[in-house]
Amino acid sequence: MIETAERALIGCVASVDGKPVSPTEAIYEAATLLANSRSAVVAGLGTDVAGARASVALAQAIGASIDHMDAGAVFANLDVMRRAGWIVTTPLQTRTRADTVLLVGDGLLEAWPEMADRLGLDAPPTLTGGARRVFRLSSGTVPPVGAATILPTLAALRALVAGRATSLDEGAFRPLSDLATALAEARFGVAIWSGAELETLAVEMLCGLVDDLNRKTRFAGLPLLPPNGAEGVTQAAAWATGFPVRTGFAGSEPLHDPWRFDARRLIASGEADVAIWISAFSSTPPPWDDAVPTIALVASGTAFGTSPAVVFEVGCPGRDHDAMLFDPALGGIAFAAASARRTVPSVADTVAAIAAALPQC
Amino acid sequence: MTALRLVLRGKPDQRLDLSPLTPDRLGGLDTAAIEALPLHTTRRRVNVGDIFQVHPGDPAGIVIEGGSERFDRVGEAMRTGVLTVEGDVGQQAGRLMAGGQLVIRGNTGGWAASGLLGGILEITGDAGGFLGGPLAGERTGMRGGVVVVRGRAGMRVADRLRRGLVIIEGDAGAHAGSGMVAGTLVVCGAVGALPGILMRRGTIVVGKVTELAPSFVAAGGVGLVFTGLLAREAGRFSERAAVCVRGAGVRYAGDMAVLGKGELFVSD
Amino acid sequence: MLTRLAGGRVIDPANGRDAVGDIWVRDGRIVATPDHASADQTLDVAGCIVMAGGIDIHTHVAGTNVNTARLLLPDLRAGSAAASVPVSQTIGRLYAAMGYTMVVEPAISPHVAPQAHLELSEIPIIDTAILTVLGNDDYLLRLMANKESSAAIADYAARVLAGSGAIGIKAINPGAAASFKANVRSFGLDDAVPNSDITSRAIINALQAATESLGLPHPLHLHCSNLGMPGNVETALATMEAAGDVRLHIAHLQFYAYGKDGPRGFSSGAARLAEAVNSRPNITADVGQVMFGQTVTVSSDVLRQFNARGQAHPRKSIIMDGDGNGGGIVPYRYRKTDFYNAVQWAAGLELFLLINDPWRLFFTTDHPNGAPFTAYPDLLALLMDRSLRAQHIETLPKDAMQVSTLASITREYSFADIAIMTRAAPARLLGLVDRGHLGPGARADIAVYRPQADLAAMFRDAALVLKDGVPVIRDGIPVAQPFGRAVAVRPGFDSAADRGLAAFYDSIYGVPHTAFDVPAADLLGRTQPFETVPCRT
Repeated sequence: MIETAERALIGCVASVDGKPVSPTEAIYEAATLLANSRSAVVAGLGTDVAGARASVALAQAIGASIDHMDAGAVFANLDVMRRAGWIVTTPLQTRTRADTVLLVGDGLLEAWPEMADRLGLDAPPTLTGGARRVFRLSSGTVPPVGAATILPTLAALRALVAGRATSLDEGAFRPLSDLATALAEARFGVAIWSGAELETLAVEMLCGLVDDLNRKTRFAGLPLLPPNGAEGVTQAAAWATGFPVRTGFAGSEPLHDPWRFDARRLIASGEADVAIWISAFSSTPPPWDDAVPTIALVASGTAFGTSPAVVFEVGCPGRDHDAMLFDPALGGIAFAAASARRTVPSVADTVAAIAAALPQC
Repeated sequence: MTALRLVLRGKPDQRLDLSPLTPDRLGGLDTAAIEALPLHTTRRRVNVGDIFQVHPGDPAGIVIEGGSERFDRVGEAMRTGVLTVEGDVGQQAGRLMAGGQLVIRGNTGGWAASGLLGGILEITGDAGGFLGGPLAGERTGMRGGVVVVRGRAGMRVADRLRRGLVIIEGDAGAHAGSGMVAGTLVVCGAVGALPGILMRRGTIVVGKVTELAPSFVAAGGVGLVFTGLLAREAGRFSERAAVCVRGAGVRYAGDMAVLGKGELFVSD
Repeated sequence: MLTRLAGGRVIDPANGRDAVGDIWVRDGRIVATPDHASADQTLDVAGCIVMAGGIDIHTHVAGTNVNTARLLLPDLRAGSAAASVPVSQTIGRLYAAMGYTMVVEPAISPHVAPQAHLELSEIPIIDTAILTVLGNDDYLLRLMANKESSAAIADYAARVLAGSGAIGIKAINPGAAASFKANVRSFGLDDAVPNSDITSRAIINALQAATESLGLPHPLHLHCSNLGMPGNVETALATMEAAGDVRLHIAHLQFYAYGKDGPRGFSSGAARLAEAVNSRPNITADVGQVMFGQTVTVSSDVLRQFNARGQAHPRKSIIMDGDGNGGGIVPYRYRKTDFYNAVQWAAGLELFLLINDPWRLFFTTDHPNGAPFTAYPDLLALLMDRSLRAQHIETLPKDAMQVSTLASITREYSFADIAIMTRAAPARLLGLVDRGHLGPGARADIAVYRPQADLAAMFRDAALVLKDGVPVIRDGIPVAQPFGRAVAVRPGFDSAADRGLAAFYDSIYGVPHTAFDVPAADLLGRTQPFETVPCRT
């Protein structure tokens, strides 16, 4: 019943077409939009595990598709993992054992500002001791070969590690060759990159290099994961549906198609007619403004171009309410107690209320 | 007997799965049965009869008059016969096709000829990205057959090519022949950055390249016997490709990052 | 409400019962036949076989390794992956349809226990539990290197059990994963972790001691070294010897049943293994039967999986150097035409048929590593029908059958044997006094099967299944999907264990030792709290 679900939304701040309304009205409006939709998208998905579970269940109920605002970064990594496989490790193993660390790209600090401290990069490996050598392969240090991306540099490096020829000139050859030697001398090496920065072919090249190094020594990758709860959502979608995001539920079986179920493309092409936009970690509005009627579940302070059809303010997981979240420092999903608990509905509660109202619409 | 004709009534309101419309699958079906075949991919049901006017004919030859960017999986897994589309199609045209002939007189979206096994796919316009390439989690792409694109191809044409022949008469985008395992790719025009990146074996011939990966090295001369044979094979499908191959002047070995047993020729 | 299950053949070996009769249920429990009450509901099960709900003690159904396998295989999702790594919802329904009412996920590293419990909380109908993995974890190796007391080790183990919400301790090739991080590429019972004198044998004995001193109902559950290697029957025998007369459960014994005889240097050593198990009353084992088809191997034996990558089919695999044990995901296809796979299939069946005591031998395929659990009905049929076995043997490579004794074995399992092996014995092995039997006081987890010529069909689609007295399955179809319980032990421990861990985690890991603790059941989205199984002390 709508009333029961509404009781879970204590502290709910909602609006319809920019005007404040009661939770009941907002839920009813949202449910009506979804019930009458031909082909909806549940996008953004900046949420915790509970929010992801509820959102996937709602998408399944209405034959919608799911996408995450950082899906590009998700698939930069995932496409390599599931096509070629990979060898990876955890932040704690890196901190305790890595005597050689290869930092790839310029985007690591942005992806994980606390990385150097968490991994203890400036200190010896805490368990195995000895020296820790940190190498940076980016536009700043070992000069990249080729114009735009790090891919040609990684290709050359991988060839050198394998002892094969390259067409590098002497100036480019020397530093890369030295680096190749250092990597081969690693006892437990870790290569770190961000899927948000590296294109998927570069990830594949790097993971292939890591694989090659394992012929003689131990080396593993540590992919830095995208923000906005992307990893938790990926895991939750997989155990609930068998697939990650960019999966549609209109058919009798889920259909995973990263090209097709890109929410922005679906909306731009007119294939989707209603959207749910979820962003609980950051005040990020939907990138399509008012192209389709949108039900937005967003952090407080989110500014919109045009007011979405329905807006619910939701809490920030791990700050406003307890949450199960992927923690990059832990390398896994863990319980995060609310650091500044306040009375505001979670994504999970809000989505559940909308789902409960569907049969009445 | 005339070909079975399906005439487009109007723009589809959703993406459609046209995989039921192959000579193999339509054989033995009467008009009413064909009209009842479902094509929808959302919860809104759409049948063949809603989208097409069906003009009976021999399903060994099917003509679809009027294309759409929303027509996906055209000719999927077809084994025999001829399927022609007078117009554009969407994603995965000719996916897992094993035989017969698929002709798209227009443009295709991405992943045309994905996992092609046999037969011939001809695209008279442009092809989208990942021509021949694998879908999520698949290890390899095209494993046989021939694809000819008279126009341009998008990025990563012939991605993970395992066997077969791909001819692009125009230009191609970045990373042509990415991760190639074997087979042959000919791009008569210019290719974008880093063709052949991650290739293991196979042959790429391009008209022009601006950025080659440093893991490709100049490798001796062009074997004229080889190029002669390849030119003759390519010439069966494209005279421009034959000219391009005969003009191969510089040879590179790569991708040294992976195995280095592939070769890339640049035509004069 | 008083329910009567009327007229079935009740097979309840724990209570010495095998006769036609009634089962009475009230408030989710089996009750004694009432003197005067009449049933509010009568379920007619005449002609059917009635057993307690099945309990699977070793099946990989949740956690990061399993979920990684899902993400690895979108290309097989419509086919084998649906059976090998079903989604959480489907796991519960499929198990319940076969008459199972509880499963144990046997391999969860403490640092990934929260995700495992999240996944388990989405499995409907059946009760669940996990085993927490120790033996390659840094802190244990530190305790052993410092020659800390067995009490300290036991306290640590208790703390980990509590934090991870587990029902027992699992060791997976102890010492190997830690050694693999130091570039060791093979590791056996008497190999030592580099820069220490800690052998696999020592770790096993230490964890056995901890298990016994904590009074855990479940014995140490061990995945031995050298899995899958020709001649590794010697490893299994040596490991049993190393166990002394302390309880030890050996996981997926079939994968250690290989000799080196015959022209190919690979044979079944199952007969020797069976003899050893028969003569050692402290040993229990689950078989880990191989069945033919495409599957995916999901294992925390990282070293073994790394070495097995070359056989992956499709040819892709994932290796995770995790905290402690990690994970290796290697898709694999068992083929009837392959000599080695045929020997594996035969060896597993030999173990089933040559090990005499159904109270010490457990029915598993090490799902999904030997085969998906959906193959269980077919496997039961093979155990119960020797002519069916003979038909299969006919289709397999002759040279494989020649290096196995299977063709000569005539034993057939009875329903009572099945009931012991899949119900009464697992309940006992896990310390679950109110499960695995149909006596008064037991939970009303009841499976009803309709006998038919096709034994596999009989066991695949139970005629009726009750979970806590509620009908949940009729003719293999779910008719209700309540959620079951998570079951765990909570042995006590000295607070010094917490202090030691806190210091270690702060200085070595830089994260609090409590960071990985599994929260209370409601915070996992469960409606019922954890059920605690008492320890023996």
